[in-house]
Amino acid sequence: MDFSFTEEQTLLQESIERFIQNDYSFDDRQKAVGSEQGYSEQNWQTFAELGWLGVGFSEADGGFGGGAVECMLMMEQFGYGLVIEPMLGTVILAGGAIKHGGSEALKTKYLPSIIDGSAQSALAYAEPQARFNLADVTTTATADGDGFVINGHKAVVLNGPSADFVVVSARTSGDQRDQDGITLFVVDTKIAGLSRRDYPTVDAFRASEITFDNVKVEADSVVGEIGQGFAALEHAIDDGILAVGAEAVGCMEKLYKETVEYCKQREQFGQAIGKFQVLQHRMVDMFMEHEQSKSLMFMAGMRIDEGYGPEAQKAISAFKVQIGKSGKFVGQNAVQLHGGMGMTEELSIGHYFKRLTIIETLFGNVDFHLKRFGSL
Amino acid sequence: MQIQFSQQEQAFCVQVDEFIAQYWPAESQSLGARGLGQSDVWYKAVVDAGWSVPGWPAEFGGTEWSMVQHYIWQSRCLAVNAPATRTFATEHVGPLLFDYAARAQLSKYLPGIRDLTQGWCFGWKEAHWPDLSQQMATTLVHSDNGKHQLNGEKRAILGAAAAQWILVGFSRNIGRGAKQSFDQTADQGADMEEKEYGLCIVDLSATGVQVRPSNASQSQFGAVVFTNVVVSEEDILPVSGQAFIQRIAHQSSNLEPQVQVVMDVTSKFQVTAPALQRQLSDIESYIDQQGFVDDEELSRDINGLGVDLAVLQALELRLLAQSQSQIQNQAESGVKTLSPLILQICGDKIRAKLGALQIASFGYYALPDFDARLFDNEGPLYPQAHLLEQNASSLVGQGLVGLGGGREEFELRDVLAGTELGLNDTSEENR
Repeated sequence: MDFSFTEEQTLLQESIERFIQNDYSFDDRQKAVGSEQGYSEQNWQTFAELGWLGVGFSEADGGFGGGAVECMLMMEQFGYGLVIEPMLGTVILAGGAIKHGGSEALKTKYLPSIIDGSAQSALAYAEPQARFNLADVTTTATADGDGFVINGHKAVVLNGPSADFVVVSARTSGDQRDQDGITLFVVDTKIAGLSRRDYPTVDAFRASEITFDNVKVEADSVVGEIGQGFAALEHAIDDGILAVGAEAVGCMEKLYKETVEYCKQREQFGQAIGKFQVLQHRMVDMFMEHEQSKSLMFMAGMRIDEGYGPEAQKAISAFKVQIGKSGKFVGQNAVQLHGGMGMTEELSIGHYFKRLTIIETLFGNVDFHLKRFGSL
Repeated sequence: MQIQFSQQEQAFCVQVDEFIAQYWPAESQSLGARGLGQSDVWYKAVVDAGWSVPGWPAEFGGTEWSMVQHYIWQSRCLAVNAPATRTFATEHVGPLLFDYAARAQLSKYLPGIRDLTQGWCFGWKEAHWPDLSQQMATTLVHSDNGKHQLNGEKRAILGAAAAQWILVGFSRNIGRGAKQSFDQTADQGADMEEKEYGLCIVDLSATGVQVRPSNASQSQFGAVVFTNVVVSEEDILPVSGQAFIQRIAHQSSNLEPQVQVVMDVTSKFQVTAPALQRQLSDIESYIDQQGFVDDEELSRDINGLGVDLAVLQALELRLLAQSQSQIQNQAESGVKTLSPLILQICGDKIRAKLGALQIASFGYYALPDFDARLFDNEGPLYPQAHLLEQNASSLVGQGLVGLGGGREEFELRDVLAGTELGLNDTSEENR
């Protein structure tokens, strides 16, 4: 049993920490948010050069050879800096689905462009009627000659507006909510029949509604086995939960520390408000929520690296429940203790809170993961 | 990072599991088996194995286990509801004795503690507690016959009703001079009767000793009154001075560092994730057997507690790993160690939630006062009672303890505000 980091993990963590501290101010971030793409292409290329886009991929695939723990450490720092670049959509979700389910040929075709930063991608899995059920898929893929024809509507595709290709789940057999019969395809976003409606999300990220209208794809675009795509999809989503959970842990750390500093400076009734015991206890509770979430984050990361299965899934769901509860608590109290300025656009506090609020819902909320935890 | 124990530690797990399987088999783990002699078999086996006081120094019977070995032993015992071998005597009285007692006193008293045959308690707190600037009112006066007489009252004593011996803090006059106080910052210069503070050992069955158990909260706390109790010279510990007073007053311990951390992990009430997980599993079994599984509220609460316990376990293992790493490296690793107080606060909260969940699962059977013992001759009042460790009335009592614990939790937050957040001004004027 060892909770310490290797030298490589520490170096990775420290390099991202330095980047956030020196080159990723809140103002810079807001400028990127306001750009056409919604993120900084320059930053994205920096991430590629520093090897961060390849952290979760094997050396054979051209990556850094890291695992869940490395991705977790990276995303925790990204959360601390409220990084807006689409690491989740491109690398963790779309790249993850190909990594977990794709053939060697497919990995060779798509992963290098993700790792070197030349391509953006997205995972199109959610549907309007499905809520959080990954297996609830009405989008269909019908065999047509050597290929397939895809029809359907995918909802809230994260990083959809920038994606050069998407990994999409479609039903090739079975009923609407069957886990069997789901197939993953890689689809070029410029292909005929694919249309997008782009929009920003509450936390300033970008997403799309994507409609597939008789989109024809070749057989070699299938990720893994036909009808057996659910396992890779679920694995990629669980990687995504670990990633956004780690991001939430970073957000919470930033929020409680900023709040403590603010309360040490802000004076009321002739003294710093941080001297009031009732406020001290609130901040202690914020600190404790962060520590609890961080502890579960370590467990979830280690469980996944130990081998993906029910134990890891259970740890992931427990972690998601915890960050849902803790994120809400820490975010709300940070805003409250900052007073009215906690809600302003100019201060980062409210933006962190928005991100935490989105993370609570992303990939299933507290109720959903409580049930999943109980069922495993 | 990796979650698995080392090969050596896994081998120890197997050894412990085999020991438990032999001396505390599955049929003993249900509550009904308790009191039928199996506990005695267990205690004897633990003593024979030399595992009764693993945290003591080797010269007094300790095992020199690593921190992880301590954790494995404790967590596995708690997970199967084995009779507790970590008692107040082994964890608190023993260490005080081998630090402060004379060799003859050690020879006389340590074996009974090590063999788990003698119950001890510790009388320190008095009516004015916790004001450390007050003088101790329990006095020891020298008699003409070479003996001493002890008078006073000690309160909030854990395990007083079941103990055979008590270690008592006292004050006695030793002439005129500077006043001695528990509080080193208090006025030390006033010319008045000079006092010293000390510890003596008293047999709780001795003449003049009156034990007053307190049942108000179903806890094991009580008071002990001493009226002209005769104490011989050989039962007075040769201690004096501020260091000793400060140590006792702040309830610090001089156990080995690794044991101290395990104690922090398991906390003073032995609240650990494995023990609480066992309680939750008991409740789940009860609910299953009662057919309440379709109750969505109960299911949600159970799942929520499962997550809370996962958090507690993660905290425990993280603290354990960090502390072990620091001891192995003999230096600060640069990583700030998790505060054990967080575990204590989390554990208390889970305990309270478990009590509430169990009462909820009882339904109307939460109403009878089982401790009134009206039904002793008629069998259990409600079905499946044997599945649960505690009945509803004892859980109500546990709730009262939780309220008391709330006061402590309040104080723990004050400590964390200072140590973790640098918000350390918690003086009275700011409250």
